[in-house]
Amino acid sequence: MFAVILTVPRVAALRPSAAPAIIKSIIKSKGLESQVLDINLDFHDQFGSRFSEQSYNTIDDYFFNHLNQLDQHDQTAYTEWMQDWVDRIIQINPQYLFISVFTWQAQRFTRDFLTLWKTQSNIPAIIGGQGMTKEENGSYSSKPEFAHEMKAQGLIAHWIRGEAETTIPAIIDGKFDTPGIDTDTLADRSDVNSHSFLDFSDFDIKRYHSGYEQGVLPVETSRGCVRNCVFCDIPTWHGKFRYKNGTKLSNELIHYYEKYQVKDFFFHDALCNGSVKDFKLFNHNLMDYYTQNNLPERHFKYSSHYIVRSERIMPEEDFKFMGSAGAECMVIGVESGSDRVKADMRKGFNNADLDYNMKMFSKYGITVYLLLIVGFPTETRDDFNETLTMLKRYQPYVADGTVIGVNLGTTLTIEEGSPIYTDYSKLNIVGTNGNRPQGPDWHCETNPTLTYKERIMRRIEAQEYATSLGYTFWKGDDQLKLLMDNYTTRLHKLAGVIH
Amino acid sequence: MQVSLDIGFNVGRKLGDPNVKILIDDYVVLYEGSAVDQFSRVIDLNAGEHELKIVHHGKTDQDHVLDDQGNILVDKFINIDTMAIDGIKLTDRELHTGEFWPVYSLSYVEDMQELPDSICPNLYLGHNGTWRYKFFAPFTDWIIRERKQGPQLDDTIFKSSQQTLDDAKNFFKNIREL
Repeated sequence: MFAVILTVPRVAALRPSAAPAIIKSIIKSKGLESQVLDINLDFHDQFGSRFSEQSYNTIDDYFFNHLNQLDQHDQTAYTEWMQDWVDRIIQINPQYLFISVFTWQAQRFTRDFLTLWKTQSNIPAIIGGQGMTKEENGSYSSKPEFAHEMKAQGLIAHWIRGEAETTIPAIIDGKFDTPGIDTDTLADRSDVNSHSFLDFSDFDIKRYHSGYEQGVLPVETSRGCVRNCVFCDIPTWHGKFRYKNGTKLSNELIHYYEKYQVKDFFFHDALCNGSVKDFKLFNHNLMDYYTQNNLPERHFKYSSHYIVRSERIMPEEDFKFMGSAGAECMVIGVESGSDRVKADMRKGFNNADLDYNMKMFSKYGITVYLLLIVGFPTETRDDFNETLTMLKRYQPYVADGTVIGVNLGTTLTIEEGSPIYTDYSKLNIVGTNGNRPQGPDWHCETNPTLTYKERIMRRIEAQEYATSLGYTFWKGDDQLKLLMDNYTTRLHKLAGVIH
Repeated sequence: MQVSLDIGFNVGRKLGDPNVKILIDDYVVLYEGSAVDQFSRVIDLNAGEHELKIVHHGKTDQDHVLDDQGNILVDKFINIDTMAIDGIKLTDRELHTGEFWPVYSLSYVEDMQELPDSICPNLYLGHNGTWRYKFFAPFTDWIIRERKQGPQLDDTIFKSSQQTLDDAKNFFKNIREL
């Protein structure tokens, strides 16, 4: 067995994670064996019943709140549970242990688990994933601090920074001096049209909490993004926009359907309609497959991130095909109700475009999930009021079931790798206490009333208002707790309690 | 507040136009006259509960044609096909919560042994009578609560509770600026 590949807490157990399935397919293409184990799913499914729901909730909080510590009782349960997984992997005896660190919320478990692992096994551990940075809202960092920390503590043999397609084959060949392996620079980027289909054969797909009978599988339509929004690090992290051609993508869904009987898919990349031409081809191909196989419209369903397009680029017929092919839920980075702020963000669409898209989604039975950012550096109170007005304007779409949720995030943070991080002076942003603007520690000299506290107050106001309008609000508890913790940490730093 | 009302009817006119009256809360008459295929109106309503009434009246025993077995061959009727309030289309299930209170003709009562006071669900107003539908204004707020659609997140890591929202409000209310 070449490798055991782990999915670890904390991530919602809605569907299998893509990274382990990608790695497995690459290892298989080299004629080697691997096994994927989903510790995250076990945590969400079994921990509460095995130990206690209270311990489950405490440890779940512990994973994402790095100020929290476990008491003796919860620590014992946590260690016992991790030990079972250590025993199981040692029994498999792989050549390597791979851990997919999906976000920063997976860091605590990874550290704890590898600390335990190190005491009992010499099998080298290799970590990778976007969670190797310390940023909360971003993925990119010039240096993967978490990986460095793990390496310095002797907990890992190697880290992978960037794409598995160019690094895993190198590891198999023993070539560890490859870009992306133990480097701060990213791995070489791959041609997405040459990627193998993902291998989900180790996953019990129906066990995930997807709400769909046959489960949901993650699929990638592209890497990178066609846009270059100022707050976003995706173009830095993933490079130039690379997309699968429409036929490859439709064939991939058909393959998963025929192999795993799965009909529901989530495209986990930045957008499905970056290449409008290929997106249309993909939808038309699915329709052809339904016709050829006597299947009804919307036999497959897919959800995805989506960018708002003008009526000229995506006329009504395109939405009709989307709906018929199976577009289910589109996740849209709307960010603000103010056209001025959207222009400052370089969103590439305005309210008229958004209104048109919303109308089309409603008409063709496609649901949407809205992502908003409160407290962009140039956001005035009037701009913020426009966001509230937009929420009111779209309330009928909540009533008719088009809008299934809204996510307000944790206010605008300046993330390394984003254009705003590099060119902060363009928006007259300065950092707190003379430091470089980063995370929430900034203010805008031309918008001085927009303090961190004011941004948070607007964020709270928006949640309260959206809730009163009947919007289903997502991740509010996590985000508000994080805001309170972050603020507390900064107050303590100011008071000299912590450094 | 202003509330828009759009109703689509299918009207059986082979024996002449049915008479219809559309009211809100007994006293606000929105329309009275020959049945129309589409009715649209913007009205002023106070916040709170209201009742929409669609009254079919003036139908006589001559306004239907029966076969030898007493089956209706031709009828004068009003069928409520669609309804949208504030632009939000009511689902079939919601329309079917409306209740029809027929006023039976004497001859019909004599022929039938037992007749219900009201019929629900029923959108076919074949008898004279009143179809009633209760709703609240603001309608959008109310229908969102009634429908309770969308994902249920309470027991998931995606949840957003009022308690945490209140905690955050209190936490930040008087806290000092950084």
